[in-house]
Amino acid sequence: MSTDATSRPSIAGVDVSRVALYAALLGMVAFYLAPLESGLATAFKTPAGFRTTTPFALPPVGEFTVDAWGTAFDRLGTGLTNSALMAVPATVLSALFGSLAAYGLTNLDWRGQVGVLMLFVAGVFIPYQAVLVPLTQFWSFVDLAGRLPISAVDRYEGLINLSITHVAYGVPICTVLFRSYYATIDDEMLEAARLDGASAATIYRRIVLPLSVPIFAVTLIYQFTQIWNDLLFAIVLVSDPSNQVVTVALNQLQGSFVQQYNLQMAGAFVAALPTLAVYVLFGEQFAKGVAGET
Amino acid sequence: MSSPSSVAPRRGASDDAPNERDDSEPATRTDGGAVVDGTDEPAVATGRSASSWLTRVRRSSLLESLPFWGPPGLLVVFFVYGAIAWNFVISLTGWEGLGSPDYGSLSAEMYTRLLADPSFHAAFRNTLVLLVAFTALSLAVGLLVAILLDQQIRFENTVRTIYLLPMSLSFVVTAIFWSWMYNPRIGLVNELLRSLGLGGLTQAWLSDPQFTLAAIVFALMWQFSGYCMVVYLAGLRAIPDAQYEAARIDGASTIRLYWRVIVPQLRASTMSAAVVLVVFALKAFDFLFVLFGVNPGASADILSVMMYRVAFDRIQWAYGSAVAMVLFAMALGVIGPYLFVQYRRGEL
Repeated sequence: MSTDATSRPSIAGVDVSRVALYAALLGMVAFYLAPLESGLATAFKTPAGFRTTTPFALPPVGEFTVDAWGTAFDRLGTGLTNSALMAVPATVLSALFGSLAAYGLTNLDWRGQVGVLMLFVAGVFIPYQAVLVPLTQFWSFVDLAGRLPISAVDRYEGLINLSITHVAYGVPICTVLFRSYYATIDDEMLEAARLDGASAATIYRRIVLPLSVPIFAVTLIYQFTQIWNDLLFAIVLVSDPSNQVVTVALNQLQGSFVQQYNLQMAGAFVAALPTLAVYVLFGEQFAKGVAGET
Repeated sequence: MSSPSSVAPRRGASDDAPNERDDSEPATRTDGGAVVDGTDEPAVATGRSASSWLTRVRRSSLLESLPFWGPPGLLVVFFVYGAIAWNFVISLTGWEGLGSPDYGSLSAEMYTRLLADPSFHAAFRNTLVLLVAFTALSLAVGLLVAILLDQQIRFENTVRTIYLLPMSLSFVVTAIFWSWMYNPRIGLVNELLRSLGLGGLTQAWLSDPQFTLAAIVFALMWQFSGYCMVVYLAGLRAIPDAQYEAARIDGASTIRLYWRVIVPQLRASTMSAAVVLVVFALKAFDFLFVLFGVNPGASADILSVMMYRVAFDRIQWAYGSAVAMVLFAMALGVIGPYLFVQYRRGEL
């Protein structure tokens, strides 16, 4: 926090540099919101409307329509459901694994810990291209539907594979997020419980887990956004159209309605709706998750 | 971390910090109160046999901690490291088309083919340009915005939330927004230029090879500078107020204050943000794929797109794996030194 607000002289009650500061901040607000605002305005226009008006202008009278939204929901509905079915379990599981791993690598000390931790941290930065070909090989070997003759597995095989994949590649970042939080837990408290004869599992369940609520919020928010937004794993691992997630469906919608910008924009917002809602409600946690990646 | 003690605080605290609790303990502890180990049961707590390997294993909480990090660790080892090793082996085969790889005959043929492939050269060069330009631009904008936000402004939370908003969106979504922004006839970018009287500067941003990469860098900066802002803001808030005061008393101007005193102290923030950005740039597949499909053209092709095109579009698996190994090596070149520095600083 800087202190220049207190030390700066103001001229005639109006501080010139403060005005410039707010103008600059406002300009940046416009910069970050312009694509979103243009998209939102365009989504409510008829084709004639978006061709004849500036993108960010509100729809003129007579050129306002919600048709694009209806079509977008129709096209992306299945994708939204599939994304939710895939992303929610993957988010919860990867956060849980991250919490367990961070506890084992932070609050219980042992030799060689740093080495194992390095493996986890490096995993955060892996370019996924480096695992794509083996991954497709792996899932074709596993053949879940062939091994588990259950109708739900058969029907959602692609989504289950994708979900498990996201859990595995989410573990490193979740571990890093939980670890930086667990490092701040008072060791004396855990030590006291240990001297009272509590096992590592009891300490985790009774002390660490209840303390973890804030970091669970951060990790769940961040992971959900990441998993929901992914395209690469989804196009590589899911071939069955009925298992298509929303990012893939949106990409197809974009490809098949090339000049229909109102429909494309409405589709983009429909697909982003859950993450936007999460962001508006839990922006603080999202920011912490983003910052914790370092 | 060399200390087996479970009570010594992390982050380079001294190993033998005396622990207050020790003095009040029952007299079973005879290890001089230097090290308290949480795992030892009272019966083995003599500390005399600490040199024996078995006791050491038992005293360090390795076995106790294994059930916690073991299962997630297995997932990581298998899916991350196992898969990368597997990918490397595949890159040594000549696997193409349907069927399975022949692990019997391995050679570096794919890598020599890479070196002779002009599309690899173009993709490699574009990846480097994207990497450097995107990282530098995002850091610069993020730092500027963070400094502006750090002036005790009103509505700080709201403004910050807006700046970070693009970061919460999928690349698929932002790519669609920017394809509209960059539309040559009615897109906002060209409309804005025309309304400013700069109609001569309007371009077909995404289809003119001269500008494609720059347009991508700008759009990605839009999405990621908010992330840099968050990192820098945390860094700025960690600098004690006294330093601003001292510089002011010395009569330093605001610009000099930041350039000479504050920015140099943000080196750690810059480094960690840069690592994340570089890795993101290496992975920036989704964004380009939505805009251009598998063929962005020589001017905008990057390695991550090339890898997907070669492996999943042309089904030349081995060749795609070789491209992927190059990407992995580039990432390693950034992560390796970063992790080493973090380790030396005791941040791990």
